[in-house]
Amino acid sequence: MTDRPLLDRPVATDPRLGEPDWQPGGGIDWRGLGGRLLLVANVALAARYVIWLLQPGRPANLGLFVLLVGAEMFNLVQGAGFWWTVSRIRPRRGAAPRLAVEVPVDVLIPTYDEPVEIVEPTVAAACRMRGRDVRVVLLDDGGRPEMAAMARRHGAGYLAREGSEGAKAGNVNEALAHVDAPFVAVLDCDHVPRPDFLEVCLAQFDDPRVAFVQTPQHYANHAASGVAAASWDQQQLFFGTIARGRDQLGAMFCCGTNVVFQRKALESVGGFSLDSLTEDFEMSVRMHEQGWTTRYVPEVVASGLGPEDMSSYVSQQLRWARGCLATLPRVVAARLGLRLRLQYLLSAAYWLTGWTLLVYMAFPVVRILTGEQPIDVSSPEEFLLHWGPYFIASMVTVGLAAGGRYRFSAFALMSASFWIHVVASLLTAARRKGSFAVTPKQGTTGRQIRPVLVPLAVCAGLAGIIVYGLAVDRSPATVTNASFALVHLAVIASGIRFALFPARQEVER
Amino acid sequence: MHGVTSAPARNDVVDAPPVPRPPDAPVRAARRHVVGTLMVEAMAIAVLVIGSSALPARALTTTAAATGLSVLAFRAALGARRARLPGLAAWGALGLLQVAVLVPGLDATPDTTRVVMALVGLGAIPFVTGLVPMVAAHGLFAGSRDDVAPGLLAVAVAGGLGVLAAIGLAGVAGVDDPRVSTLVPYVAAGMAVLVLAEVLAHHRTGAGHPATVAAVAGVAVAAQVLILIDTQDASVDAAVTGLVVAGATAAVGLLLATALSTPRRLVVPAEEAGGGPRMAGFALAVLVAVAAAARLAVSRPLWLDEAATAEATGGSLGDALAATRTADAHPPLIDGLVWLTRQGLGAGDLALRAPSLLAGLVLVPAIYVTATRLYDRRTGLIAAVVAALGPGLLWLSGGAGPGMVAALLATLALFTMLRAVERGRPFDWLLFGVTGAVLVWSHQLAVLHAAVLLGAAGVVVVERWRSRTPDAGRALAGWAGAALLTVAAFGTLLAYRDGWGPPTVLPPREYATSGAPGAGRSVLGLAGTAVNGVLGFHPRDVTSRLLALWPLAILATFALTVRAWSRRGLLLVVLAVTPFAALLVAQVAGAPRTPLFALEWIATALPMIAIGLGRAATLAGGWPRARLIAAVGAAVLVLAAVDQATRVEPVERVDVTPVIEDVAAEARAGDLVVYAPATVGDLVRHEVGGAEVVGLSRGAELAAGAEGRVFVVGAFGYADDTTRDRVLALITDVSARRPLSSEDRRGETTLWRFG
Repeated sequence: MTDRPLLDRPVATDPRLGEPDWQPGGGIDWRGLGGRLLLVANVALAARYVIWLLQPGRPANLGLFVLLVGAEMFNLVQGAGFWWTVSRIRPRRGAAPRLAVEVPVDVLIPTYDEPVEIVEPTVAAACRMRGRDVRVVLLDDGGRPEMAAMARRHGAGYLAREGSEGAKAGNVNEALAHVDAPFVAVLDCDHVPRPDFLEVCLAQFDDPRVAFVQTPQHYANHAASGVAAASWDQQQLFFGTIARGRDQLGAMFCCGTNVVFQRKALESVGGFSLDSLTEDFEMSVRMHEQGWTTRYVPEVVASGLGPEDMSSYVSQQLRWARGCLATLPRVVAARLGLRLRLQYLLSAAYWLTGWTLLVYMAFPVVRILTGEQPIDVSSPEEFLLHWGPYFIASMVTVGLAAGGRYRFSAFALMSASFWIHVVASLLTAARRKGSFAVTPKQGTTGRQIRPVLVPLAVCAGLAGIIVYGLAVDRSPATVTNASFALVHLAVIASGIRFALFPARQEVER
Repeated sequence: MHGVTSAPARNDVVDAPPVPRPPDAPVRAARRHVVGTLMVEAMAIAVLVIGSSALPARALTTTAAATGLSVLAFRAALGARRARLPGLAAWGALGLLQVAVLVPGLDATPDTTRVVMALVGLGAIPFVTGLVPMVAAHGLFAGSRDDVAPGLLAVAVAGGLGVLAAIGLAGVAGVDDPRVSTLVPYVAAGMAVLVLAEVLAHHRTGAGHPATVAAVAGVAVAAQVLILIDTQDASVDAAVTGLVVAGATAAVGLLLATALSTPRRLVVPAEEAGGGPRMAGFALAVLVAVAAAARLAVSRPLWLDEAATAEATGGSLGDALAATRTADAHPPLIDGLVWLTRQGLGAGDLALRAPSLLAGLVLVPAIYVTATRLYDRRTGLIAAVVAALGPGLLWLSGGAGPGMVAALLATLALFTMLRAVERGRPFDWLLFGVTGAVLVWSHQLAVLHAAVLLGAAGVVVVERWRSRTPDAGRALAGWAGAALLTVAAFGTLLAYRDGWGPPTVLPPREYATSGAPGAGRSVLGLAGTAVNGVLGFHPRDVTSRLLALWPLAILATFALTVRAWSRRGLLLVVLAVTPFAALLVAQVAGAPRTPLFALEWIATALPMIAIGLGRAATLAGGWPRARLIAAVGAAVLVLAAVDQATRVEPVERVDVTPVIEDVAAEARAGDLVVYAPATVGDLVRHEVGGAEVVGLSRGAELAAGAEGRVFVVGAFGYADDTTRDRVLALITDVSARRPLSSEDRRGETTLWRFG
């Protein structure tokens, strides 16, 4: 233990302790004329492309054509959902309102095997949150004496249950039986809250039907590695743009940390679900089913740690994918209004995107190997003139929505993770039960081959196809398909380069 | 509109409004000096030009001497007022360089006196026009190093226009002596060089070194006197030669003095380089040398469109401009420049292509400074590599078309706009206006480029106006002046050409190759033209495969659309896309430009694409990575250039040059050469000397009775059926009266030889 108070240490030692370098906001004003025109243009160009695609005589190979149409329709639906969501965003006007915290609040910080140096700043900061009656409890599923000592040091409570059934969900549910404040905050053990965290969240409970208030997950360690930076870009798109739109639609779901609940809402749904890998997502569905509403505050009031290496990222994505996909039947069957149901379906179905990438990657391979292709066009120009504007408009919309912060590396990482969506879908379809794996908070240095074995094999396959194709035939049609394969290869290679060529920046803690 | 982020940078056009500085006393004095010189010179022009033809013989010598001495005295007095004795010596010497051409006429026949008066009077026109921009050269008078290059540029442009004016007015002078028309171009050129020396003299004096000016001017005077003395008689020719040599001596000497007095660091210290190139100056010099070598190493025979330019510029300047006024798609700047180079370099292919060649060389440093100002030195250097080695730019600078000059002016217009917006001084806005005005006169679609630049500058000016920055009024006035100049130039052009000009140009050489671009009303056709612009022309199989790589553009779309855009980037993209969009709109609207999507039409976009490629390379990471990408790119460009030089030939079907070369080698005085159709006439006339060259109609009249041999060239690749029938009828007719020596067919061009 150092002489200096934990939260007074220099920022460089722990990036979570400094001022957040990002706040949700920016991007185009979708309610302005430019935003409206862009959305209309997207719809028009998409319709134009689809009409052209579905014309009689278009299929060259029926099976491939069906696959193409399926993939395009899926992405079109996801795109339309995105346009719908962002069209509801209102420009952010200044900081979120605050409210003096006069009511009791229990702050639960679950932990399992994270080291003390990760957890301690969170506990210390939680104990310094402003409020008349704030009770911080560390929920240690690992039952470690050093954790108990640390909690005592900062004046926090400590709970260690017998066993670890239900992982984090079970841990929190168990704790709920020991606390009784009308509001419950849940913080992951690596998310350090600001002193005004509760003031910001409780100001949103002006409506008694508000079940919870969610705030952004800010990855303070995004500069630590390429994976951290790319995954943070992905988070920025969600918390900076999509979440704001969902909030306006009343469809924000719980993300598991940096959230404050009304205890009544938790009790009405029986707490967190024990049999879901994304218990927060599944619980949100149940809360909406019960008629509760949800809120999202677009202001960073806590900073945490994102995955710093590919293994951590894959673990996180696989858990999210399996959890959300497993919730799909629940969403379909839930008693929700159309708006909410569609929003949840869009979110859950997002994890099927990897299948469309697989389909797109397969087309040039099939064409080179067999000569078969999905559509019949008189010239490449005909395809370009219909697909090109739709594609460019979609990319521009994403870029503008993210305010220029969704970089190519984020897209590449997502594309390189296509196999996770495929595996998660298959496991979910096979009803294989998954186990909750905590996302590691500290990355490992060095090359990581295993988490990227599949995309690496795909890259090798694509490279082989390109070489084979050009060796056998160098006609313009083959060159075009080889180029398509090269595009996929380049994107996936960009996504996995973080694992193969790590350039880690040491963050002293 | 989306609040496009703009990372704070030293060259950000919004965040650094300049603070205006009131001119101090020395600058005011210098400005008075220039204005006084202008007035004196203008009066001298009037006296000399009018007097040369209007005065009686008795008054000629007195008038010439008095005018010369007056100019000399006033110039010396202005110099003395400016910088005492050194100033008196400096400007006395510079004045002497001018008026010395009068010396041979002071003790000669009245005819000679009239000639020298007309020469000096007309020759002073470019001196006066060159001085006009200097009135606003605040920084130059204060000895600012940064203003030397733009000052020289502005004065060179203005002086160049004055040279054209002087040559055009040679007939107006009323002195009916062939020496006037022969020597005016040289006197005018000498005076134009002298006004460059004047710029540098003002700069050196402003920097506190009038003695340097006096010394250099003294050396120039000495050289001039030596030339005059060295000839057997003080002839007019010798005086003109002395003027040119002395003027060049003064200009070069003062340029060296300027460069040596405040030397640029050739190697940037590592701590200042910021990870970028440290020896950009060396690299740039090497690139210019490589660009020159690449352009001179490859030559191709003259083509139909170039032969038309040769034909048009073979007479007087007036004839050249009249020939292209309404007949050519592009404005006549290139024709004026070609005419000028032909005066100095003769009638060969080099003279025809010299403006494009020089523009291609100057483009290398121009694109470097522009890209550096827009982004950084790394981008500038990589863009300069593309400019030096890019096969598309190599192709344009090897022809006699307007594309290369337009590309250079487009780059300079962007550079001057950036300077004007960032520095905000009247001189900078004037420079932007002048560049824009000249640009508009260089290329049919260049007005769009100028409009985009004016629009971009206008946006910044309006923002400053709304923010009530201290310089808002000045910026608005400067922008308005630049806009006025550009609009006036465009209006003048429209009036001169009775409209925007026709939409067609003669097919350039690349359109006769199997890899010709343009695939109909299509984005792919335009993409093909863009590919040609960067990678040059190639055989059909290579071109089709290059276009088949279009899916790789998806990667570029990913990378470009999701990132934040700066205003600089947006401006660059708009400038690059503008001519393509114009061609597509013209095509869709039923007013296409033919040949379809020829490289010439998108010339103003090519430097923007080069800068964009440089920027893209630097975004890949640090300088070592960007350097590697640039090296690979340069290798690709060299490969493409070699392929273009060695494997791109006109298809035999339409290639007329082998036949014309045979005729040129064989035809002698007294022979008759008949050509068909009219399309190939200019080329035949240009290549074939000595023999009489006529079209089909006259050929039918003359062929039977020709004294010497008769050659009939039938380029059926360009002819319709009617023309073909007429040619065959001619052959039949001539065959009945003369023996047919041979009939050679090369592709679809046939040569008949009659004894």
